[in-house]
Amino acid sequence: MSQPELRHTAFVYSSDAEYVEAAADFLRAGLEGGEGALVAAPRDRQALIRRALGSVSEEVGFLDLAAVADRPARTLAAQYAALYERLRRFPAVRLLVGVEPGPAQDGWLDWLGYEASLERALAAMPVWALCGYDARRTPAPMLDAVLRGHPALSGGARLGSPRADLTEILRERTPLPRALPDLRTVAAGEGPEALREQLGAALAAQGVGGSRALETVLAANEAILNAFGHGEPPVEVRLGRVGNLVVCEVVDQGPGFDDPLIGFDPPGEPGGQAPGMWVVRQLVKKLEAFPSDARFTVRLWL
Amino acid sequence: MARERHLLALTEAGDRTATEELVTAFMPAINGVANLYRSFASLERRELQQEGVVGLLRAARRYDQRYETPFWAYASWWVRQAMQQLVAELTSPVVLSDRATRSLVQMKRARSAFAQANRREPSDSELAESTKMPLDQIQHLISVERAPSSLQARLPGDEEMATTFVERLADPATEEDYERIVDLAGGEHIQDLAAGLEERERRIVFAHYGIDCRQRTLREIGREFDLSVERVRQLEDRALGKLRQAAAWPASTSRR
Repeated sequence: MSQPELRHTAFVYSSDAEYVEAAADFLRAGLEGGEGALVAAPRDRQALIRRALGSVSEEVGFLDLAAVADRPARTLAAQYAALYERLRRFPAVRLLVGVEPGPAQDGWLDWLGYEASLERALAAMPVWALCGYDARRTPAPMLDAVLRGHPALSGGARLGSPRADLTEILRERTPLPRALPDLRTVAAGEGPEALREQLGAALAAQGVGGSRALETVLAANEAILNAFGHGEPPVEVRLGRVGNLVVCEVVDQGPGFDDPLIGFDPPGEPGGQAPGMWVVRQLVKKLEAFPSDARFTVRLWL
Repeated sequence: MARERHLLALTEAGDRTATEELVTAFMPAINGVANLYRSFASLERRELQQEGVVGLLRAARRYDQRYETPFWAYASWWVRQAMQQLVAELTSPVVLSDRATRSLVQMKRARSAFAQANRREPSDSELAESTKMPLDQIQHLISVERAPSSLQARLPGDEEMATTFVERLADPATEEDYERIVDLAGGEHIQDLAAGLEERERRIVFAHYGIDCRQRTLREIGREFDLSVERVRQLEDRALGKLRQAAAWPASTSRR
């Protein structure tokens, strides 16, 4: 049956057998009802589902979700593209998400951001997303957020009532950005082109080249244009290295914005014109945006 | 190397014998990582080894052989992270006995299991029942658990160096390996960024921003190509537009 709007269900499992049974039943029911099916999961989960579905798996699309911990927005973009493609062919789509947080200490926050984005972006779409969480590997805070924040839970009642908003949980649990005193101002007070040029020179001086330099210039350019368009000049660009990553800050004098999911909302049909912050998210490993001292900083990690 | 790749393929396919052989082959390397944590008295070597194996198998499931980066370069990061998670669990700024620390972990796991089974948080008495611990011990553990505990906290006795757990545990070498393979994994997208540019557009953008070459002004670039500054700017704008579009939508990763 076609769904008029997003259904977003979580299920928590503690064995591969439990996972496969629930996942395969979910997908088979959709296919038998004439719906499209998409599995977004790490490769080992995909292999389990392929085996369980047998030849029916030919009708299912598969996306590798292992990269969420590295660039969540890029994974979301690939997922939206696949969803849109199926929604052109089917009245509704079943999306099975295999969640496996990365090993970073706050890696589960990337997943929470992914879940919150999914819910907001697909709110008006005929999609049923079933997100599976392995109780053996899911960090306790993530499990807590899942149980409190999902609109529905497979086979049980939600933890706490009323339901907590996933975006609000994300906002509460995201740590405040830490001070990075080693960053240096590399450009300030000029137009976008001059700021880009000076950033390029600073990247070369710091030995940053190749695709990382190109991505930094492109991402910073979008943040700079955003600052000129929606913030208040003068605009300043700061740059430095933290560990193995390049960190670039774009600072303006405006009030900024307060949306932990900015740049995650899909800009309509794939291939269409995308907002600047969407482009930024696609390029960076992490984005932080925060006010300080009557200024607003967009911090990009690449 | 060929044997390693064969083992990895079989491990991903769920072959238990291959998995055991893979673990045996990498056990010395796992032990080497475990040695880094020997100063943490509350950790048993056996526990570190177990977590290391979990990290190794996690890496095996994710490792993509197409990128020809040595498996251990990738896996060592996961092994380290798995051990680090155990360190975070068992090493708290709140001073606990070894037994109490393990009780705390036991209680946390029981809570997760209960929440998974019953779709709600357990009460204190339900936790006591499921862990077979006295109620007052559970309540004590809960109060300890609520005490501030952070990987950013300074290590006891290390105030002068202001070292945190995270800093102590970070390993730039393994993180660099990890970053490199992550970049390789996203490499198709990165390469696609500039692949859509005409050669002249690519050279203009790279020269203007000094990417892998000496940075030049638009005027200097114009002289090289025998173009006006304004024409170079137009070409750059067009190139940036193409790059923007390539960045906005990665190549489809959908596989049937």
